[in-house]
Amino acid sequence: MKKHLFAVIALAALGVASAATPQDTYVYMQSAVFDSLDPVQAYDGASIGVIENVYETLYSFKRDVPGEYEPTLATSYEVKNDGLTYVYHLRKGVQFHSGNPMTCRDVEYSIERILVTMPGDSGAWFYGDALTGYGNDAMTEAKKALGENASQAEIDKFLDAYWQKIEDSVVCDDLYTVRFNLAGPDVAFFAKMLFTAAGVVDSKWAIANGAWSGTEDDWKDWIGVDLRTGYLHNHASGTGPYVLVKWDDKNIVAKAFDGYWGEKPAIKNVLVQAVEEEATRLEALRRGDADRVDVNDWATVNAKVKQMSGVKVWSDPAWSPAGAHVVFFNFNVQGESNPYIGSGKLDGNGIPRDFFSDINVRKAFAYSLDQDAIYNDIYEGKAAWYTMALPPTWPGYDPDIPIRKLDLDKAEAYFKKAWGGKVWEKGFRVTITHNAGNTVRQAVAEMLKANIESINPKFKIDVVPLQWSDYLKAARAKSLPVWPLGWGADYADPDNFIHPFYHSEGSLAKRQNFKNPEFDKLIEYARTLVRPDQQEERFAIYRKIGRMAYDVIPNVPYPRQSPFIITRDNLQGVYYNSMISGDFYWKDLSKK
Amino acid sequence: MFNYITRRLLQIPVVLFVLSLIIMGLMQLLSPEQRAAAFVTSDKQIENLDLIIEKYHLREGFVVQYKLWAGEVLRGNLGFSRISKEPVLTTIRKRFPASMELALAAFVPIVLVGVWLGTQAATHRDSLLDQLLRVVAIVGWSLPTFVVAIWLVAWIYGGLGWFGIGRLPSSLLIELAGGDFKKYTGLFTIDGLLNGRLDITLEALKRLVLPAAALVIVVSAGIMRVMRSSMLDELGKDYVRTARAKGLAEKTVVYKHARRNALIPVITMAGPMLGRMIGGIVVIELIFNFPGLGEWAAKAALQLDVTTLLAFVMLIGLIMAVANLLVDIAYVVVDPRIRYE
Amino acid sequence: MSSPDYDAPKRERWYESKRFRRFRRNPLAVAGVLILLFFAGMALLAPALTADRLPRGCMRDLGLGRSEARTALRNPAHPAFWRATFAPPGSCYKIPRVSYSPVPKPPSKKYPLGIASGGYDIYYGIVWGARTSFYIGVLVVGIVLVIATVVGGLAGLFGGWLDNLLMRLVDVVYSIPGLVLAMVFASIFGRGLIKTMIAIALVAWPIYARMLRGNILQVKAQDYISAAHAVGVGNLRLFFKHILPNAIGPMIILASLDIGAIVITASTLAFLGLGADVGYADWGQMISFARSWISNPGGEPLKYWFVWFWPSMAIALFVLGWNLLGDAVRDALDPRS
Repeated sequence: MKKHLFAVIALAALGVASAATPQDTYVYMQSAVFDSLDPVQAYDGASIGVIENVYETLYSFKRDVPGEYEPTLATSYEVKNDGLTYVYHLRKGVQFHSGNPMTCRDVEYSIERILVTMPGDSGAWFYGDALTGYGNDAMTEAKKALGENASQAEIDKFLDAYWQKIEDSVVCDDLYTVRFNLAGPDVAFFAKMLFTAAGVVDSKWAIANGAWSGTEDDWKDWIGVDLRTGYLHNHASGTGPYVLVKWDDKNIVAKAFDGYWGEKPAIKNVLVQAVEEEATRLEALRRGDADRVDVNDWATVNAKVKQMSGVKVWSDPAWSPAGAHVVFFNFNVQGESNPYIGSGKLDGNGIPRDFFSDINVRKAFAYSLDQDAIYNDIYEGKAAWYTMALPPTWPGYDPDIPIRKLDLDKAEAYFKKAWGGKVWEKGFRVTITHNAGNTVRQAVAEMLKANIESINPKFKIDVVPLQWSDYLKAARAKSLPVWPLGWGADYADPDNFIHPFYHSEGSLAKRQNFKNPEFDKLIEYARTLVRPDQQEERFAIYRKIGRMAYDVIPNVPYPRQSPFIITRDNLQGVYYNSMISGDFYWKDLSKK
Repeated sequence: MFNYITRRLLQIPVVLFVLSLIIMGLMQLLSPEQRAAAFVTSDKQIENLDLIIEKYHLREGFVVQYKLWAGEVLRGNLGFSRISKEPVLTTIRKRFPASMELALAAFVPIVLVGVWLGTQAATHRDSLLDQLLRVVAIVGWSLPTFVVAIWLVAWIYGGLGWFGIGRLPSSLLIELAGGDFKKYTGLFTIDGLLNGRLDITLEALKRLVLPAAALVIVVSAGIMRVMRSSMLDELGKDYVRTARAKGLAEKTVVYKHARRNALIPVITMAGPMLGRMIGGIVVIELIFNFPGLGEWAAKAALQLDVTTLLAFVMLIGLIMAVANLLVDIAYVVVDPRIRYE
Repeated sequence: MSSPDYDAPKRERWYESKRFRRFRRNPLAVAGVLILLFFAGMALLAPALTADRLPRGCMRDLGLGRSEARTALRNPAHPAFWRATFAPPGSCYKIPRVSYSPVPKPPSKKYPLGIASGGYDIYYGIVWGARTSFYIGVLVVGIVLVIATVVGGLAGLFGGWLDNLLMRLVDVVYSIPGLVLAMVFASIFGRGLIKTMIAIALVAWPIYARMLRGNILQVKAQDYISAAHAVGVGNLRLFFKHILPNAIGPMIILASLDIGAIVITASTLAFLGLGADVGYADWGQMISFARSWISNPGGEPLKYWFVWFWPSMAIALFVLGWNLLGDAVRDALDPRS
């Protein structure tokens, strides 16, 4: 027995020891797991947060100045031919991690690799839109254009034409000049080229390791493939300041690249770890095992992080996230035997499919959403108001549009007007859905429920959390009547919000069957304003759309938590740029 | 005996086949969109939902899907895990040692504690000690694993700041990624010794204490109960009385004679105990942030990643079958009276 | 036996039996019964215990106002009392939210067990969670018995290849740890209490099917059955008239003693995120949403103890109650002791 006791004490003594990470090492514990380190495939913040330090794009975001860029692998660029041609002059003397020199061939290879593979679950579609005019991979487009029963010869012909478009879209004028020929005017082309998918890959190294050969010979084998099974999924050779050492499950280890063309970074080793459990991340932060950790919300920061010694909370009221949250209304609910709309009639036990097409209903719902409670209770006052579905710091955002706050009298008045008074008289029953596990969206749904039900006892709202799988099913069937949703930016151009949210063909507006010709016309017109001197006009149109949306209410934007960064207090060089997935580049960090 | 073993071995593939049929069959209850849950993980990807459904043959019927899956499996390809973002087999190879290390770390104390306490209870039958141990056993048996694990995390780790969570501290993880450290077995405690890195062994051990303790609390109660009753049985038998009558010391009677025979029923408990342990490991790995197979499977269950779930169930089925076979063989070795045909 | 002799020994009542006396004298058994009575009382009186804090939806579905609910649900003369006690609408199982703040608040006079992250009233969750636990236990046992009766019955009655096939199926389900298989099933079926219960039942039935089959074979071998068979009594009739009534009793007893284990599995699934929806009064799920508040690095270590303490104690005690009872019953029924 004594022996056991001794062992326990010895082990306990072992347990209390703690260590701070070394001076030249940066350890980041994040909540999300990595999806893929192939720049073309990666479409999630966790993966991109690593890729942006390993690969570089032609231009990149300028540290902490939102909306500004600096030359990276390019030194300058020109827009020609009414915005249909972009020419980038490349930096000379840049080396890949493998030691290969970077030339135009690599840029051509990297961008063409996107256009060849076009994985459906990646961001490749917006490069296709810009360069070949096709948003899907070649086989899908062939089936779409020719139908299911097309002959092999027809398909081959289509594919050849597709390949030709790929070939023509990226051209090397010489070893250090690359020319992009666009399929049509694209206001966001420059912004799209800042996204990590356009990161320049070491073509010699990639080809040698079994990736696409860069030629027509085997391009058909790479159409629409899942790049997670490829070599680049967990290996990398870019030009960035960090070399990927190893991706082992939940840990990614990188070290500084000795041959980096720019300034040598102070941090030599980086460990990014996916740790799902928040308590574990906080404990690691406290002990100094992690230099930076993800924390879910301000409430946790205030309740737990602020009392820790040696920890710094970085925040700034001027910071704003590159995303928007809104409550959607479905203008014409679809789906056979739809469980979310009750009886499907305005009889007190359901809603008709076009229930939300009445502006009074939408207004009543908007006045029932307690925006102040979201701002104060959930986010503890650390949040940004949204007047429209666009990040507040972005060009085209109009901060002067009013926000409908909780006003149950007005809501009642509009409910009384809705559907000629029938809504008030008969009542209704509708289901608000949110994706299970998202507590903020759940709270938004429950707030709406509580407030609307208090207006009239005949109003009944059910709040139903949907599993991701059920949500997919419903989203595709367009069967959800009311649901809160968030959206993050792909590329740093307001078009990435205005089009999906407000255009009838936009990926989000489509799901709510929202169609308004006036919106469509304006958005399409704005897309033609590609010249630099037309940008102010374009942004003015977006502001106008914001004001129109206030009147039409296709959706109700609600506040979003303002960003913060939690680190040990000896970490320096931290800043926040909403377009950088990791908020900052590792190369700018150092330790006191 | 040889025939028996062969027959049992031949049964394993059949069991695995039926299990895969059941799981794949149940998947047919879902719509193609629902089956796509593991493939489409963000709102942005919904745009191409149809494409993805087609690409992974999610619209196909049961027969086609099963054939596709089984064809790959027969070729030695268990598929691609959407959870670990790598082939299933790679993940199993990487994570199996982690779970194995945890299981081994817990196994010895479980047996020792169970057998020792069981013997104590039986030899002090109806005394205060026995009553107390009975209560302890039944309480241990009643505690859900995740409750025990959470108590340990809250009190010992959170409250007292002892031991650790995960497999290794981050500084060592960075170092290991460098590649000088050779992974012979994948068990950090043993690899640390083989590489002459005592610090790694100690750090790994330190992080095994709490999860193993949780398993011991939950699993050893069962062994203890069986041990107590079988020990009582043995102590009441004639040969014990004879031995006592011969004037043998009580210690010799209890530990040399009775306990040896009392252990036989405990061996039969090995199968169910292993099952309980595997269930416990799933939860414990999740709570202690221990990157093993259980954590992987629990994540897969949340995201409905059937490829991963199927592989996990197959693996567990295999482990359980082999373990049960070994138990049967051990049975014969321990008790020569037993014969299999 | 046939003559009502006055000095014949009185027919022994069940509470006078040796078995029952043995059971009663076992302090552990008594403790088990007391624990279960406590929870049963809590479950039964849940509406009355929480009359002052019912969620809006629940009051709406009961047709009561806030002040009305307070008195009506504590007054057995009121019809709403009976409805709420025996057939409460599903909305009553939703834990009311005091606020939307993610930070838990310590116990106070109004919220005696504290408020969990998200503003959930822990007291409400514990009280109604008792109902959920009984509900899970009873329903799963019910489903298990149905499956076991069908499978075991078919196997035992018809024998032959069908018996062989069904018993191999039993082996297959048995070959995987219950929690693992239940986790896979629950993942496929999706979230929701009923679906979780089906998932658990689908892995829990084999042992009872095997038991029933054994019973049937035993009974079949008895003379009177062979005789009945000989006079042409059909298989089905035989099953329902003679075999099932004899076999079902012990099966129900044994299965209901498994409620503890069933509740463990259910709460584990809930903890993994495969149980009832967030906000449903379910102990396992309450622990799951307490997770990020279990430890409090840097501050007072056990500051948020109440978020995990109450639900984990509730589960542990509830299961303990069933196991104490089950152990005692098995001991009492064991002919050896």
